[in-house]
Amino acid sequence: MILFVSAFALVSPACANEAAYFAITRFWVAGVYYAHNEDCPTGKNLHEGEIAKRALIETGHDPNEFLDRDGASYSQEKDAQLMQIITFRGRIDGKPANAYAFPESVSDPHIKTGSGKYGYGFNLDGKTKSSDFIDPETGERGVDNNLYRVYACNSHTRQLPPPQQSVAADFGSEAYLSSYPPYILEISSLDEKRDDYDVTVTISMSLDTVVRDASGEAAQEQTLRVDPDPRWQNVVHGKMKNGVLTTDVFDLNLPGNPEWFPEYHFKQARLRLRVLPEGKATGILGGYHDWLPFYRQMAIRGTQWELIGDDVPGTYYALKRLADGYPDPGSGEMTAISSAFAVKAVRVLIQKPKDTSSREEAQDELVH
Amino acid sequence: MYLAVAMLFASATGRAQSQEPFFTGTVHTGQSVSVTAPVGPPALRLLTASQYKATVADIFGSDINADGDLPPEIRKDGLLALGSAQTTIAPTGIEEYALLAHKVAAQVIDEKHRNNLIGCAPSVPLKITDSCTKGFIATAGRLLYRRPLTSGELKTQLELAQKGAGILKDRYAGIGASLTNMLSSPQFLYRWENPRVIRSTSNEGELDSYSAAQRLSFFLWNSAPDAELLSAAQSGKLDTSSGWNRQVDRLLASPRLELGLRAYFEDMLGFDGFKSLSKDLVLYPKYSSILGVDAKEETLRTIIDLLLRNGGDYRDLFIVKDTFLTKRLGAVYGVPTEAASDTWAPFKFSDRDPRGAGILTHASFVALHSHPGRSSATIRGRAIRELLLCQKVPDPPGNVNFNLVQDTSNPLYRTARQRLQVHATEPMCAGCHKLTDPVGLSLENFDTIGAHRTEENGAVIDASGQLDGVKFEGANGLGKAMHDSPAATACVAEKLYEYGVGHSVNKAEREWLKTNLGPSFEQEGYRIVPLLRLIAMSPGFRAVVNPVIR
Repeated sequence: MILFVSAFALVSPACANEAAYFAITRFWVAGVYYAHNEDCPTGKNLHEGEIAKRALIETGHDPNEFLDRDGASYSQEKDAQLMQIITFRGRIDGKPANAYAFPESVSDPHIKTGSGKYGYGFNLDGKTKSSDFIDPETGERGVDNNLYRVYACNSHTRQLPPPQQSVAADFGSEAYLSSYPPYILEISSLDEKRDDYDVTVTISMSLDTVVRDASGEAAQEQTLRVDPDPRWQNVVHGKMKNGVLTTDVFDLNLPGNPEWFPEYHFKQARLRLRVLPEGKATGILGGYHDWLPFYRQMAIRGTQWELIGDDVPGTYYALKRLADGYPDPGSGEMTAISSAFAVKAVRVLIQKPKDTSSREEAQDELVH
Repeated sequence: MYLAVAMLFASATGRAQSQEPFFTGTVHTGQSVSVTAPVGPPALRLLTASQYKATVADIFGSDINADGDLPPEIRKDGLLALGSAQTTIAPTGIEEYALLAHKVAAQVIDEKHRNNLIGCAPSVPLKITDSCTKGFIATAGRLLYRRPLTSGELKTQLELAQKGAGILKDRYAGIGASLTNMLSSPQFLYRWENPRVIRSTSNEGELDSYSAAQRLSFFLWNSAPDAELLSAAQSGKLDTSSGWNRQVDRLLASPRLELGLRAYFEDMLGFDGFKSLSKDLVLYPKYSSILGVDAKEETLRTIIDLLLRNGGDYRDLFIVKDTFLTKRLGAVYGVPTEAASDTWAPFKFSDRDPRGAGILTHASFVALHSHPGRSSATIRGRAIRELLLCQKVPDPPGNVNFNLVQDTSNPLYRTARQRLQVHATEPMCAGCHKLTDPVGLSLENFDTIGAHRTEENGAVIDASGQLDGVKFEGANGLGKAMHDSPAATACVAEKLYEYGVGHSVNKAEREWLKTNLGPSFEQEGYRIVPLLRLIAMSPGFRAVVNPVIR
């Protein structure tokens, strides 16, 4: 028999009325699919090549010198020059400026943003405005999700027919799941036989990446360790009713992707999650979030986004224009934007960190 | 390039070998005699893939890659070890072995390895008759052929190496040509068992020392004899009781015994079946080839931990709750694992856990003996009978109608038990299903990949079972029944014996197993290491009988 000492305690699989744990495997801006593009009545934003063409014209270059008929550059050398021109198309005091570091050095291209009647999310401000969405799932009116409006008319962030999300979301989620630990969602009590009862919801972080099953999804009932870092322990009261979990309003803090979006800090967040019988859960998490980090995640790889058709300074202006929460006390400008994120999760088992204040106790404890 | 050179001289090598016998002693032809002693014929066995790789690793180092596309192995009487005596090499197989030999030789002579493995550089680059090169070829040849090269063989190999070096203008390439030739040779690929003495009155004799050494080494280590064992053979020490005992105990005490035991249980449990195992990934997405690898490893770790590290009772394999899991296995079993990442960690199923049949409830057993999309009580029952109890179950006749038992959507027969009960009323089916189903149905709480379930198609599963008159409930009951079954311990003793000697037991051997080995195994508490020793020390291990020659 082998003694195994661990700082983590195994938590047995959930039985009825015991806690249930889920690993969140998809977390991306939620949008509604419009089959006939009704949400972008004036059309979609520029395709790849067109942003490059516009930048060349604006800076006094001949597009034919760099781009072929299809908008692709002629050679690697031309490519490098093109990147420089696009990146430094901004102007400050007449001098070239990095358009991503200084987006206001580029004039506002007024990218097309989403309208449409339906959008996922919550009524965050308590008001019902004519410009607000109706949630297609709950029918709630006054839904605030301006973040999706910013992305709605870009080809790579536009919502695709379900079960897809968007090109960026599907790619990004897949890349994230392969490389980073998922979020862990704990529901203090899950009982199919009961309805309309109170629960405590904890959203935290795993320390482990997931193993995949044959469908590419995270394998259900795998064991993940929970990160004990107190910064990522988010606890909120919720209610289970008709198989759907809804939480109270709370502030949610989670680490993101260190490369793109280091941390999430949602204000006035709330979660709605449908627990499915086959060990899965889907839902929406909404709340206000500072808008600038959404711009930064694009600015970090500026030309890469623009060459696939997403105008980076244009996104800056759109985020700023559509920001609708948390006015700066000085300037009055909105610092946060309403948002809703699609959540998909699978049932897992977890190892929780034990209280290791007594090292001797931890060393003496026989795990199995 | 030196492959071609090596092959060019292959036939010359063969001709040279046939001129000089490599064993001493005479063989008498005689009248047919009935064999009364527990002894069988010598075997000529093709190295298995794992033996090939282990031998190359032991001689040249574990970083020499010996993976190759080798001919498929044959299972005979439940063991690949017995089938290796019947495996032939087709022309394409010869090519595959030659390519693998070339691959291995190329690594031995490359810049990374040559200094360590070959060593010296002569003053004249293309002259390889120096004692150092001769010494390397003689040493390598001795280890590869598992006996010293004859003078003729050594001369041929040196000529080949010299010629190769001359053509290719590279001394090491010449050595590579010799190595390729030896690695392609039947002397390496086959385990030759040469009788030393055959008594004309009884046609019985014994293996010569080298043959006995390799039989012992492949039995306990699944690899060729090491230098010390070969030296014991060469000096005659293996022909003495004390010398033989010393080597048996040395091999048993070595860490390499674990590899030998793993090879045996991989063979006995039919784990080569994982190469072709597939599951319906829509219904069972948790299954993957990686899970298959993990499943095999879980069982082998459990076996080694119980039988070797802890010196446990073989019968406890059917009731042990201690095992080792990865995250993937934990996900299938629905249990939390200690594994921080996808690594192995020990795990103990609780007393309440329905996994009470030890390795029989491992994914390796229940998944391997199931259909792609559903479990199979019949296949599992047959596997228990044949693999673990040494009881033969006939194949189904060719004209059986399987529609009823395969129709899992039939609302009248929602569980496997219900479907099999109807199927087994067919007179031509009942006889065999009586042997298999009462045993296999006790594992129905485990689906085709090993996950636990209590229902099938909404109907509660009845996992009651029966084994040779003993009734029980579920996997826990099956495990206890197997633990208490005398056939289980008799079977492992018989199979290990056959594995060691390379042939199916004859009547006399079976009687000896029953009256001698079996009781001794029991006295040793059914521990595996003493059983291995008993077999290695048994009269039949070194003795051979000549086949009747007319």
